[in-house]
Amino acid sequence: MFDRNPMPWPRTKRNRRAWIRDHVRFCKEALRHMLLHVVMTFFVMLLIGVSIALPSGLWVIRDYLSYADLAWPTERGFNTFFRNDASETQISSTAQTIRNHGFVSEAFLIPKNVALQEFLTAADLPDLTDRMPENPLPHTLTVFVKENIQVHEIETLTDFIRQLDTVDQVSYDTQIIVRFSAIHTIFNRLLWVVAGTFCLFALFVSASAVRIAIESRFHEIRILHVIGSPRRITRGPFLWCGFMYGALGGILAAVLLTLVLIYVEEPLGTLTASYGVRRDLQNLDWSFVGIVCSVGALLGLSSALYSTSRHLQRVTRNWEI
Amino acid sequence: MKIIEFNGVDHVFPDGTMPLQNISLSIEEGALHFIVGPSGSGKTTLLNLLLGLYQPAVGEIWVNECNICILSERQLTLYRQHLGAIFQQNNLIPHRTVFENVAMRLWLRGTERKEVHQRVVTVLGEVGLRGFEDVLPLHLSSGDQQRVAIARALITRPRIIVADEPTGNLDRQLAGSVTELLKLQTTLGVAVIMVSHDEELTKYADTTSRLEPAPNTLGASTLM
Repeated sequence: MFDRNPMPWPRTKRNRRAWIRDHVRFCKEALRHMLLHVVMTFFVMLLIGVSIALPSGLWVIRDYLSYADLAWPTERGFNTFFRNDASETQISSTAQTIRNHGFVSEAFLIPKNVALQEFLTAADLPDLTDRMPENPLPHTLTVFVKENIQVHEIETLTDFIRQLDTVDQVSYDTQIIVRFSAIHTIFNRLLWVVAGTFCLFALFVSASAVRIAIESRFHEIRILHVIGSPRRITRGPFLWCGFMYGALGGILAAVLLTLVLIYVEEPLGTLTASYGVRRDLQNLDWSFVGIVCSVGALLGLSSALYSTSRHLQRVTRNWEI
Repeated sequence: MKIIEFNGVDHVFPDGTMPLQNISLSIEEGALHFIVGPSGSGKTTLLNLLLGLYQPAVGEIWVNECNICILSERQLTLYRQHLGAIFQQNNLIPHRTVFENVAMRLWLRGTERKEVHQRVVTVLGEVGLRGFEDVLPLHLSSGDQQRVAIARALITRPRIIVADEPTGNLDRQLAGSVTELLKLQTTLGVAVIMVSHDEELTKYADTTSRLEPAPNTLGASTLM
């Protein structure tokens, strides 16, 4: 929109190079201001860093645990016990039928004599074999289902197996799977709620930290306003400051995360190793560090923009504040 | 030639108080005009009206044959770039050097780096602060800080300088030298409008106006 009112003096035209010079100057000025106020800068960085580290840390842990989570379904299995009067040929045939089922990934046959030997060894009763007239254990088939097979599909599979002639029983506790699945869902949803809360926390903390840092320089905005500085130029040094606070806060968040991950690596490694997952936790992905720093810079920049705009609005509306 | 003209200006604050009533005033180019009056008489408010920081409730303010009361906020920002403004305190940005404090009005115009350097050095020489370019304001005395503010006001060679109690924090001798510095600008055709509560300084003035309580009003002042 053009202002058509006559001006007391003609407007001075600015060229593109002036815009570049402005930003180089803003950047230098922001750096110098931060160096002159090292303690305040550190605390603003720390606030932003901690607030970003919380959701980021949660994300890293979730990402790490998800590997264990992915590993779990391949371990899902159950035991099929054969009738004692079934012949070995019948058992092999039935085992092959089960292996050929679409939901089954693998099935291992444990012969009854191997099962007894394992049991007695585990129970520390190696001499009991001689005293037993007959092996009471059945032949067992341990069945593992494919990934992404749902609980109701496992139930369909177990029903199918139960109907086979040579099968005595199938030990599959649906309740445990249902409960585990529910716990898994609750955990995942809680994780998202906590992550969302932490993100909001990061937003508010960053905005407040930058706002307080800018509040202490309010008189600068007044001076710039009175000498005729356009909003863009008044905001410039503050935006650069906010950007740097945020970016440095992001770097600090990455450092904090690395330290925390070093601290929790051992117990977490033990947990995930039990699921057969091995993953290096200490080395954060560079792209992840980049994202954390960018988010920090963006938070700092937007907080500075909001804060400076509010101050400018205050000065414009009421000079006497 | 008249460069500033107030025509029957009233000002009302948002809380309803009226500090100024029926202000009519004209200032010629190349004149040092003093506005004196007791504390709270509305001297600063008058200057803020001229700077476009307030809008008058009634009346018009003409600057260089243009009514500034009808200008948009954006236009007022550009208008302020052409005025030199000096205040009693909080004039300078503390973490910027003397050079940067003075140069910032040229930066607003996008002046080339080399020209900025030349003009800042020249104007600092005029106010007697050559060699202080890299010093931070807090390392300067009050008098020297005020000189930096004057240098900043002069850097764009404005046709109007607005000075609000620029000598308020200075001793008599320093106050005299600062006023002389401003008086010197009038020889270049600059109109200087200066507010002071120090009547002694009016000896430097070409014209003087006095703000006094207006008759039949509650707290408002008018020019006598």
